Amino acid sequence: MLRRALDGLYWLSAAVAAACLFGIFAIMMIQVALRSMNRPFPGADDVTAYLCVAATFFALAYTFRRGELIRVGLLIERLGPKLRRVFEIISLGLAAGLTGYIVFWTANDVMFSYEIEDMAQGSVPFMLWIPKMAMPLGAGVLLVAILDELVTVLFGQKPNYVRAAEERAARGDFSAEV
Amino acid sequence: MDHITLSLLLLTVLCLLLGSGLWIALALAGTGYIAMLVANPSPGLFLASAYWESTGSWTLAALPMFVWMGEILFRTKLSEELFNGLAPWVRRIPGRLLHVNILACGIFGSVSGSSAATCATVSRIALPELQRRGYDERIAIGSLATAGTLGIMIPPSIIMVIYAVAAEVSIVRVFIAGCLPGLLVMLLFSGYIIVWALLNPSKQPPPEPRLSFMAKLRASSQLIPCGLLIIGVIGTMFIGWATATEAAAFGVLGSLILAVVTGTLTFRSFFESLAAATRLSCMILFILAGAAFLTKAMALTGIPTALAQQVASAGLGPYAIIAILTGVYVILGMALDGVSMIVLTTSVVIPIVQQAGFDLVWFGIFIVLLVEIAEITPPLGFNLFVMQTMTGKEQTEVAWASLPFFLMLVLTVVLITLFPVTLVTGLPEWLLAR
Repeated sequence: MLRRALDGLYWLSAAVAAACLFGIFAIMMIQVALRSMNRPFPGADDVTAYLCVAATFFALAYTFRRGELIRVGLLIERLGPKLRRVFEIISLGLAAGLTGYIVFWTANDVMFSYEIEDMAQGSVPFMLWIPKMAMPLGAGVLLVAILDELVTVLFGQKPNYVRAAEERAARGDFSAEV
Repeated sequence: MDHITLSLLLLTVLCLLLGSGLWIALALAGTGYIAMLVANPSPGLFLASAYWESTGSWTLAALPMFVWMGEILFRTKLSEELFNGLAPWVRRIPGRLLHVNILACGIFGSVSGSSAATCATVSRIALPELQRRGYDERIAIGSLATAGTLGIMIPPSIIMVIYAVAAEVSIVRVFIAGCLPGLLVMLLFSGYIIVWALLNPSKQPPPEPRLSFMAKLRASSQLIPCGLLIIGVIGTMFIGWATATEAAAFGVLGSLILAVVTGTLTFRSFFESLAAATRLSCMILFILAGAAFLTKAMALTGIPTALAQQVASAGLGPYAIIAILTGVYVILGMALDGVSMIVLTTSVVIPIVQQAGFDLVWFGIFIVLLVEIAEITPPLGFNLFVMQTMTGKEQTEVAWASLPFFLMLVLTVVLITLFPVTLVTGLPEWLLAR
């Protein structure tokens, strides 16, 4: 039950991110169409930038779980299973701490923007706290995903990001590299 | 704490974090946190603004668009069309169909911004075809692994977008600057294949029947959609009709149309390409965000400027600096991917390079070449991994097969250093001045 709820959360968050990425494309096409009719599209540039932030942060948890957030595997992939587990726990612990820190300070930034009613400088004065919400929310889901994996490893199982990466490599799927 | 102690401390922290397997984006942020602590008691205040500014910019929106474009084309039959369309024309050149590897990678590179994708897409078709026709396996593998790196040299290029944003230079300028070096690399690769073929006549497969000129043209008509796409994306950017971001969005549109026309666009492939593009962009942009925080922290500590002054006062000539940087990047490339290599070093290296009097557009091309080299350097070379899984061979074997082509890339680094204006900065100056 909990497993399905968590996976649903990561999936939903990633779906929002994908929609944002599609949104960037859609906005640019609309902008070009309007321009050919000599009509302006106020605020398009700002919205594109906001969608870019949202596409990044909301996809974090899902990407992490699929093992597509890259790390240097040079050392840890050569360790025995016991030592490897210790390193995974250290990495996940550090990652949880740092992500918590990111969540805290980006949330703090959203609150601050809200209080001072921070506005965008462009042609449309967007309230900045709204697009900035993507940072703490997306990083928050990532934090949940990290803790999820930490529990998995503490229970002695192989983390999902390792399993997913191994499956991809076995299939010869290299879509996750530049 | 003086600059040297602090630099060493930060370097140690970064190496420990990266080595222990912490995700790169977070390792950069963690190191940034420690660097920031030295300069400011509350690093978090800078974190939010660094993350917000680095991931949210209109210019950077080109990146997810180019990534998506590549993902769409990856799921079409483009590589087959390239192989069939190019193969008839190279039968008379020594080395024959091996040249298709280079040409197809170069052409696919001009619609894709990624090396691993270029290598995987072209190899998927070319490798079995070459094996079936009895070509020498070793040179086929080596040429494919290395020519695949053209994906990031020939515009559009994900790595160039990242560099241009990090170094604050024009994306289009770096793209144009990459054209001649890209062609040079292709010429050197093909040149090596010709020489190799002439020296090893025993390893050549039997010749194939001749084709009439019309038959050749018919086979090549498959290349038209791809050609139009290249003109549409690169052409509009180069003559100044579209910015990189707009051209990237047009590229997505063009790729979707190409996929519809060739009958390879399904609901499934559409959503898969969108999902894959989202994940890949997320990975890259999160690294950029971590690096932006580290860069901000570094600027506050004053290390980059101090280091640049020290390098300047050491009285090294520009060639010596480039030689040292080449060494550093080759070592970095053994352990890091291209994106991390660039974002990690720009804050420190750019001031040094500027002080030494190098053009930043030129330096972008230099760095892209070194990332190409890194991609075929063991133990961490993504293109080696691609070829490993495609052929089932050991990494060392693939790396040895790539060695001659690796040397051609090194030769290109030397050539662009000796003739910076002719090969690199001249073309963008000329095109953009009009």
